[in-house]
Amino acid sequence: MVTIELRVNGREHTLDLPADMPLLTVLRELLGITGPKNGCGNGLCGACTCHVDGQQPVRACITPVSSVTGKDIVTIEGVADGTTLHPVQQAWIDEDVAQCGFCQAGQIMRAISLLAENPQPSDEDIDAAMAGVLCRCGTYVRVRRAIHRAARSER
Amino acid sequence: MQRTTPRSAQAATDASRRRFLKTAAGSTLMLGLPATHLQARAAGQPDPGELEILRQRGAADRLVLEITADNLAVFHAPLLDMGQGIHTALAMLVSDELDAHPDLTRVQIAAAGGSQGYRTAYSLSMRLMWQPVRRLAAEARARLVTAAAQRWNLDANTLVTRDSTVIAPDGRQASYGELSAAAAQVGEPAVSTAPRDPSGYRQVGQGTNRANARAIVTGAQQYTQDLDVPGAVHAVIARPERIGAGIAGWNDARARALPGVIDIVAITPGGDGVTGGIAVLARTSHEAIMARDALEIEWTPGPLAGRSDADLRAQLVAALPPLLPATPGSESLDASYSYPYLAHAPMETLGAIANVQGESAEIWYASQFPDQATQAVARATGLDTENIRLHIPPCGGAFGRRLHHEAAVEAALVSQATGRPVRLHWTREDDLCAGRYRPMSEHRLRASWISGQVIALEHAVAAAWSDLGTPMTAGIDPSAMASYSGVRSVYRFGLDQQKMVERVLDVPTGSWRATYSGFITVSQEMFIDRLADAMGQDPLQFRLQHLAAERVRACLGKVAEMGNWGAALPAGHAQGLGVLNEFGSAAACLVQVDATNGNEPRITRAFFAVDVGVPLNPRGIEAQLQGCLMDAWAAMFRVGNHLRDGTMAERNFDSFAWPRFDEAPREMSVFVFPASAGGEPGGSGELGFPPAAAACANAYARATGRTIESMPILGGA
Repeated sequence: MVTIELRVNGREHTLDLPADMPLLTVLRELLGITGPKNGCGNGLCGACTCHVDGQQPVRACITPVSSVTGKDIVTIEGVADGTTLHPVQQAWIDEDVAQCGFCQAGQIMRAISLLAENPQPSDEDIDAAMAGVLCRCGTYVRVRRAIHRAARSER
Repeated sequence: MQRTTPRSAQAATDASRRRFLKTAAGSTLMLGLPATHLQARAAGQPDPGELEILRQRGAADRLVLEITADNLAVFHAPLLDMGQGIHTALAMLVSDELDAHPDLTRVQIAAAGGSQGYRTAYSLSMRLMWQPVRRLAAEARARLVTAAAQRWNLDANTLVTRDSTVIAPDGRQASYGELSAAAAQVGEPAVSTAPRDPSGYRQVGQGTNRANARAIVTGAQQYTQDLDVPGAVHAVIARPERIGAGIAGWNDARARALPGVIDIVAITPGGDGVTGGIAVLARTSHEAIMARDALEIEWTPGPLAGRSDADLRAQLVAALPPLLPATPGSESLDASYSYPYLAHAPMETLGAIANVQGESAEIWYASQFPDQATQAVARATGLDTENIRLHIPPCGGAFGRRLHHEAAVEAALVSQATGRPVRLHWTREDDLCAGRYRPMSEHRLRASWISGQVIALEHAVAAAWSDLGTPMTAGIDPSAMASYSGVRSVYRFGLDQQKMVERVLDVPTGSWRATYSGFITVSQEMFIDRLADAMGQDPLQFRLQHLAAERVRACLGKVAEMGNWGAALPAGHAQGLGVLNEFGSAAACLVQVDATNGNEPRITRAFFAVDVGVPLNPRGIEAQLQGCLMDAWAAMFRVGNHLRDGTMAERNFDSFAWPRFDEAPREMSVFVFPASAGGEPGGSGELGFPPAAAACANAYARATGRTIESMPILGGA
């Protein structure tokens, strides 16, 4: 067990944890932050995607909590500004992207990362960046539209 | 054909009127529906949907529409929204018929006690709910108007309704909420309780965004594993590597010594798909998984030890009904198609929370078939169904998987054995290796023709038995009977018949999106392309020439126009078609495939035209068709579950290679035919799968010249 200090969505937490415990387990099961989802447990589906240190996308299910001590962690719950949605969230609503919704936190977090580094992505850029986030409902076509819409709104 | 006509106010009997009112002495209006008013349109040979409507008819009196004091219209839907958007569409319908403001209309899942008999399956939700929801809303509106007329001492026929408000000619207004209590006391409504003509609806038919979109994009929507159930400890189950294997011996000494471990108990195999195993309870799911992996378990070999796909497939091939010899003097064509087992793999794996205390239990499980889930828990725990309270949270997809409820039963057993509330998590490996699958199937088709005229088309199917989880199939050995798929040919050929046999094999199965047509119609539609080619005809013209169903013909013509069928394309690119007539709807799909990149073909363009009778929410329908296209591409080209020595080889999303982002077409459009006058809604959730699957395969075959016989076409991972 090690003492871990985490800053999640601007709030500080201090916990005694096994160093290898995945960040996702800590967020969901110990801190009650359930927006990031567990879809595979192996870093293969991207449903757990969060941001660490700015807008770096990480897969929380394979990120040992000890590796993010002292870093800024942002989950889907932390991207809106109060009741004002992040432009990517708003684009998701406007394009009616979600179906079951289970993967969408991961999709949105990954899309925010993409737009942070590439504000006007092409279809090819989107395909490459988003390839790690699986959707089983088949929302890809609308995710692509929503990313283009968000890119326009942020221009 | 028997048709339901709108019920007039005069036609309602006193008995039915009394049954309408759920809470005569209540403070708000809560309306239920007399079961006798739900009617199926079955005539001649019913499709499975019509059978299901008949079966669920007896449960219609459990539908409830409520007008709350704070002016919300709440329909308690006994059907699960798994992402297919039915709650959004039902809210549109309630709002339109009731004249309730959209923002003041809610649809929520009915408490399980209120969903006796209902199951969310066979793309049936709108077919099932169209009549009763309109009746309920019309009845509620009539009562609210009557209550306002009584309050103001006005002729009820002079009042109008708008945005959850009754309005008098002099401008006086009263909200539905403030009239609700009085409406509950109305004996006989003073205005008609007949639903209005659907042509007067304002929202129905207009593309509408899903009601829970904001909750989803903010992470606020709570799925089962997100719920805060006090005291619930995390649990996972060590499951046999080989399907159907049991426990010969086990030692948990090392596991118990690990941090966070709370308890370890054995689960005995039982009915309802419970495979048995060792459950580990811990502070977190991570610690539970660590301890699970530290268990020393000796498994029995199980029924599938030493057996693989080929062994099971040989059983199916041996069971194939024989095809008739081709007519002497005719030309003929034979084809065969093989499909693998296929997991549903919804993004949210199964999971359940259970709290069994003494003689009662509380369960949280997103079930497509709640009364069966409750009964399964009762059978396993020995509790009475009346003492089991099933909560139904939103779920992360299902595709048929949640017609079964192993997780709910297991969680209940673990909770009962340990005396604790338990949060059971199925890992993705559990989902893919210890779950259920679309049945493996084998197909043989033969067509014969003379002088350019088709005189026979036969289709023999042997499939692993589909465990649909219905009481109707309980106790029947499906191997002893020819099975009824409900899939009908859409063509007019001479002798046109389909024969299916099912065999009970040892791999658990379940209904997968487009249960039977997902392989039967797909095979037929691939064969139609082969047949047209053999007869020297264009696939579009050949279909148009032989299609029997006018609705399908219209869809096909439309999609050919949208996709510019027959356009000159570069080498290695080709178009393909597929059609379907099922679920009370018709559909056609055209896709264009680029097969120039070796084993990485891509859909470049995709088009659907669908006739769903009365489209409630075209935007939701479009989403379903987009999803069906990706499912179709996955099932035909990418994924399957392969048995090797009794174990499924694909364990997670690396080898179960579900399509990723770059496999979605850049261009895709959907045409939804407008509502037909006097029509009723058909289903759309599964509608796109068979035509898209066939269209993708047909396009790939034409682009590459390959003859397709075995799925997945690219061989799986």
